[in-house]
Amino acid sequence: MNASNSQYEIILQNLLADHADGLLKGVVSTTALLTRYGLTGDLYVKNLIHIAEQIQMAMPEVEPSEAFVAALYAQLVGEHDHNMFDRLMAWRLERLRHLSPHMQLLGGLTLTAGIYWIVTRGRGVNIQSVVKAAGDLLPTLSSSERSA
Amino acid sequence: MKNDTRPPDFDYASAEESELVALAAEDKLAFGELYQRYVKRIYNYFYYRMGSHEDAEDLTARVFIRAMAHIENYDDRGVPFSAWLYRIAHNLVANWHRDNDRHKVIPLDEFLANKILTDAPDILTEHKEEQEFLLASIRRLPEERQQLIFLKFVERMSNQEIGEIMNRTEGAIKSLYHRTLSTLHDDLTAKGISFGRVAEEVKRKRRVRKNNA
Repeated sequence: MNASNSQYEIILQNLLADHADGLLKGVVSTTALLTRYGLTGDLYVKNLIHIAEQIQMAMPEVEPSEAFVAALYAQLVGEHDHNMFDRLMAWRLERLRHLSPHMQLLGGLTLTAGIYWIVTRGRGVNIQSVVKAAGDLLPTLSSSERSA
Repeated sequence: MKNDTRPPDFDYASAEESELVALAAEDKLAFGELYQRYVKRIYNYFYYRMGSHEDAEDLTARVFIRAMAHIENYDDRGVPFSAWLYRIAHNLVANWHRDNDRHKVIPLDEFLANKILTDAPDILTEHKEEQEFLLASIRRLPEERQQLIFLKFVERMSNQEIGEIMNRTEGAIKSLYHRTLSTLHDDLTAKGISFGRVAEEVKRKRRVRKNNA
């Protein structure tokens, strides 16, 4: 790379950095920026700027499901809160629905074994919420198995 | 890890991050507060890296489980806690790709279309297709470049903050950003995609509609 190429590259890097900063603050004027850097006729730079703007539009923040967030919190903190337990079960069951029927059956058995383990350890889990969650599981498994 | 080391009346929600980190090794609720502050950000990281909510949930869970198991090893020497989490996340993505030997390309989510619902249907379809190509192209980038794009556009971090996470200088991040856009440009051009034209057309139609209103 010769000196002028190197200089062009540095100018380009600074322009793109300024553009990205302005884009994220919502105060970018592409024309003013190109003028300031003396690159108004540079189609390549304009294309890079367009790509950056498209990336920003294509990547909005997404929200994790509340059930997942609550379930993982319960798992990490180990709070034996009945509502948390219900949400944990709801999330686990929701995840089961995405699996193949065989994997659902395996998952269901594992889940049941887990529930049995929790209940028999007598850690204050509300047995009614366990029974309710297990009841919710049955239609999911049976309908999948019937269609398989 | 115990739950009884927190000071009486300790307000986790308003605590400084450094206080929470110091407590977290012995206090699950302190770790829980850190989790609540960062779960969405880590989830977003995985969502845009992996392209599916299921993978994002699995990997997000692994990050926090791993972080909780190793929080005693976290040493705050000017590196933010978030940088530590992102490094764990980065390693998990690398392992995931190595173990699964796959690189999925997902269909575009509904929100992309919703962003420009007010535009004409033909432009909407073309725009959506091009954003699909763009996201697919981003997922073909090397790991560190994908990370850079995420930290800049979703996390909205400065080059200096990105540098702290990626262990590089601000100048190196600037250079990497330029090379990343350049790679995307070459990749999209090779596929016959011209982003500038569609973006200009969308803007033009919006201007016309605004003037007519």
